[in-house]
Amino acid sequence: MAPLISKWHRELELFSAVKPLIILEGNVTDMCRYPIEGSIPEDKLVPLTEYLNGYLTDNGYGQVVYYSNLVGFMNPYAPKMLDLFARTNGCEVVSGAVPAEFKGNTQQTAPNIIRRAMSQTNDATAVVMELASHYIITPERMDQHDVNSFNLLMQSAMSAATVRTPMGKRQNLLILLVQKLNDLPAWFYLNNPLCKTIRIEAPDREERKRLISGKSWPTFFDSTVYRTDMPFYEAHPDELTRLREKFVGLTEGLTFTELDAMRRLSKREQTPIRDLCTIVDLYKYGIKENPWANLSMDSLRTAKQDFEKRIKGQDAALERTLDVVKRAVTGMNGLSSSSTAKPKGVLFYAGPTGVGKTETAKALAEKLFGDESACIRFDMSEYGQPHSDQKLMGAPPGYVGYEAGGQLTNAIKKNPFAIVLFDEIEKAHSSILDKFLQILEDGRLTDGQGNTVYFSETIIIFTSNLGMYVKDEMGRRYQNVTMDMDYPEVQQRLRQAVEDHFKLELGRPEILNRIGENIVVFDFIREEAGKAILKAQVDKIIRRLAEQKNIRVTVTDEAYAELSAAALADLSNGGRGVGNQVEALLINPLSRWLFDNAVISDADVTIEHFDTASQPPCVQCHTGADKEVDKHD
Amino acid sequence: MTDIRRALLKGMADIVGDLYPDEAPQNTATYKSADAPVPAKQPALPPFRDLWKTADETIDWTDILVSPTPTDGLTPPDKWAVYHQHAAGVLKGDIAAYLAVLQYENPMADLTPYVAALDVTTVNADVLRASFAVRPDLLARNADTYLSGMVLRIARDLFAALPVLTVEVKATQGDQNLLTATFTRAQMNKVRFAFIDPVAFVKECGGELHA
Repeated sequence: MAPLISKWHRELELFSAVKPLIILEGNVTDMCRYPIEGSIPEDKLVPLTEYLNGYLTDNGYGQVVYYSNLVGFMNPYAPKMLDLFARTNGCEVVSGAVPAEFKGNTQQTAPNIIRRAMSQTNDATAVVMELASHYIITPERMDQHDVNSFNLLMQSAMSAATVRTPMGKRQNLLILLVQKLNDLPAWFYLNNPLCKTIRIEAPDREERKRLISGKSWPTFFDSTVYRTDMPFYEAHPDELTRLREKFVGLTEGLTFTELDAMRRLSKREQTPIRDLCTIVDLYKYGIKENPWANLSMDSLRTAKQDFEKRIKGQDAALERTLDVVKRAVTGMNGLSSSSTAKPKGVLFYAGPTGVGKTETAKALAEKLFGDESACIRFDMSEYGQPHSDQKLMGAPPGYVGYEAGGQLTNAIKKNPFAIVLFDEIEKAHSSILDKFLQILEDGRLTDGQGNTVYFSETIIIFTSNLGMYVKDEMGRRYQNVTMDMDYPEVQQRLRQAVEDHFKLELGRPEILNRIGENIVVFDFIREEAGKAILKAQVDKIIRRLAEQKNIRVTVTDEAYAELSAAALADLSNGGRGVGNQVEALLINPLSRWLFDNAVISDADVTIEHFDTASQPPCVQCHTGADKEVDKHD
Repeated sequence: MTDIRRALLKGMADIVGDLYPDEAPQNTATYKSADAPVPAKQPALPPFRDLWKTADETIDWTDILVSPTPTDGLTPPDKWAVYHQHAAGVLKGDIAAYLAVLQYENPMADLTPYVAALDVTTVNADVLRASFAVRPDLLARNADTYLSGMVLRIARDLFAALPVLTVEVKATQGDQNLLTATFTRAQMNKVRFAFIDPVAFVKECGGELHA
């Protein structure tokens, strides 16, 4: 296998020959994969300092030392080098280190020693300054001693000597390791021709692939697992390739330290090779039970019928929703994309109000995760302010509410297997749309405290009433879709309106691209569906009264027809409108009648007539006892 | 000296295989703990009541396979180097490599004070068979705990040493078979040894007390 050398390593090779001052910035506290066989074995994960020790030693540097303002100069990997360094530069080793303050007036401060080391020509020397972000409190408020120390480091770079070594000529090197470049004074590195800043990123796809395919591969497994499982994969290399590809996709954004922890976890848990990817869930979410893996196919087969009991008249929308779920269950989601860390599915529900969009999301949560509360709902009308993204993701350090974290990130951290419902998305501030973009694309979000949460086990649903009303050329609002239009026309108009909103109004076609073909248009509640909703609601009220009060209510056919005519007269408010009518025409008058007639429990009540025209509406009823009296009369 | 002894042991194992073909299939090899070199510095013996609660450290063969030098920072380099020689064979299920490891590692050296004799047979890549002769004085003290605790501890040590799936352990006294128990790795992985009753667990694993 050809060596895979990371970009930052190649840059270091290139620039260490021409620049005496190198700043390594970014992921410097992570481990690194040593790319070539040398003083460190190929593919071994080591701390960056050990990596640099191996690389610099293999390249002819006779003195490699590390400086930390807490300890001084040291070299835990090759203590003899420190002795040599001390002798060459006139300092003393005490308890395995050369003590030296970062600032001060003596000749034994670290910058002074570094200046001497950089200008000497006895031995090629590299000084690596660890945790260089923390030598000063802040670059904005440096005292004169701080400035002098950095000045001396600049002078060291300016006076860096070139030394002849058995490997050729080498320039003495000063390397600073910082997490953020702006932890250093800007004048130290900006427009400094002696300095080269090299960024170390989290391992990219190729690096992760190499880790899982290279020499380290066996170490991901317990010895017994490896011995018993590996012959199958040796005979089926395609299976192994697929498994590795999936793992690489799932571990996007993770550092080498995290990958190494995952490796050890896999070994400790004696994970079979075929289940390697489950270790990613275990590591990320701390739990093993993945509800996606436990979904019963039988339960999904009856999902449409189950949904139809709750959501009436939305056949097409339910079908489209279940398509996304089936894709997630069969593992075919994201097949067309490079990232397997994306959410399991994304749905954009558009349609009139009260037609079952939110209810469908809840029904889906109950079906998939066994509990309606697995549907985490965010009303986006509460996130219309420019700073609203902080409510979702948490305030940055130093701001009120930092400790509390973000509402969205906290919810996903607590329950990574969920339906995340963003209601009325058009009301969210545009800054939040950028966060959605990240969720949809990468499947992860980092909160204000720096913790990353993953959405790869969620289904994301956006709902919107977009397109119900649009503006004409004069800016006047008019109704874009009406009840007299058939479903295909409603669908076409709403889809068009949603696309226009993202493309033309917001100018964010990239968000629409992430949603793809998953815009699901809900139809108006038509008469048949309205009747079904009414019946379901009336039946529910009757059942509740029987269960809780032992009051058995009967509605005569004539009375039901009166109720139905009044409740279904205007279906423009959807199922919620029908519910409101049931409350106004049945629940309120019936409870008034029961109270006025002192019917508290244990009774048979027959509703004979609904007077829907009176204000307030009322009902005419009689009890079983009345009938008896009538009979006697 | 040690190498000569190892070579002799290997030769003896082959002879045993030839002499008793029914008991030891052709691809088996036997290792007698009593004959193997005992480390000069033995760890202090745990009290017998805790014997099954501890076990040898698991040898991480996959780590050893990929690195010629210790990656754990704990294993001495010379020991690691020996393991490294055998790692590929062990991970292929080669019983010659198993035997070599048993001879080098002598995983049950610390148990010798508790037994009269002890030997291990590598049946195949998945199965190790161990048998030990009991010490009558310990047997007389508390037969059930002694037998169950010993078979459990022997199984644990063997699972720690080699990537086998099953360990069969037999306790004998003279010609009499006192206890036979078969442990699977899957069973052993689930157990918190600090909290179990060895007698009940061995019974649960199908341990059959013949005494």
